[in-house]
Amino acid sequence: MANPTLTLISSQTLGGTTASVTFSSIPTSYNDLKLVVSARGDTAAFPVAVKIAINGDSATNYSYTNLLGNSSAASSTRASSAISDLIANMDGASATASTFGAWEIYIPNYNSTGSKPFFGIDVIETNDTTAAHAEIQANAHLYRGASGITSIVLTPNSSNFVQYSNFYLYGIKNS
Amino acid sequence: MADVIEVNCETGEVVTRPQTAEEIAAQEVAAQAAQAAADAKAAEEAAAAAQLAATNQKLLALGLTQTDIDTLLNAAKA
Repeated sequence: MANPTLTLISSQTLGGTTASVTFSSIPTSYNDLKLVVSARGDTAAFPVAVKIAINGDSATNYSYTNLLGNSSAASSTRASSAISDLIANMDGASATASTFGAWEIYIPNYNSTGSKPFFGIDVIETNDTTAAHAEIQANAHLYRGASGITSIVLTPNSSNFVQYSNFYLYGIKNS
Repeated sequence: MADVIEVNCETGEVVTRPQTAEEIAAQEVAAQAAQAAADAKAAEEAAAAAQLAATNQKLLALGLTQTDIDTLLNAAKA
């Protein structure tokens, strides 16, 4: 029986403040993609949302549903036929120093020319007494673009990524 | 102004370049929209908290104790 393998396609550790990170020319030789990120924003907000754009597509091909909880409240939001997708939350500049949000995004069957459902989970912990300054969020996503995924752009919604934010893109083969 | 990083996964080439004027404009629009959404959410939460406090006062005026009210609220949440 063949063993699935996880291969690092590319990684980036930011050397300075960065407005967006793009992975382009993603090889088609894998079955699934996995994106692992540790990131923080430079604006004094909490949390800072991050958008994903796939294949440079800004048409109404994105939908997502999230479930967010912190120690005092739970909430859920949803968007359908959206022009971009909020993929995760991260710490902003008002969070405890040197704390970074951590996320994982799993995109199965990314070479499909049909709709591509995927999921993400992101967490923030700051040791802050403000309940809303720590959270966990689970997200369901759907990208309805009609071609396989060859590029991913990650952009903070109202901020930049700070130095030492890390981005790892893995490919997963099922044989 | 922040840079933009583009990684070509096939060649391994990494391009770091300044944001274009269009990208800066889009970032500013997104920042304004995010701030507006955060303000709206904060206003909504403040209104809900004020409504809850007003309702609590009405129940106290009817003769319920705070323990009675908390018991009811906890039962409703369960």
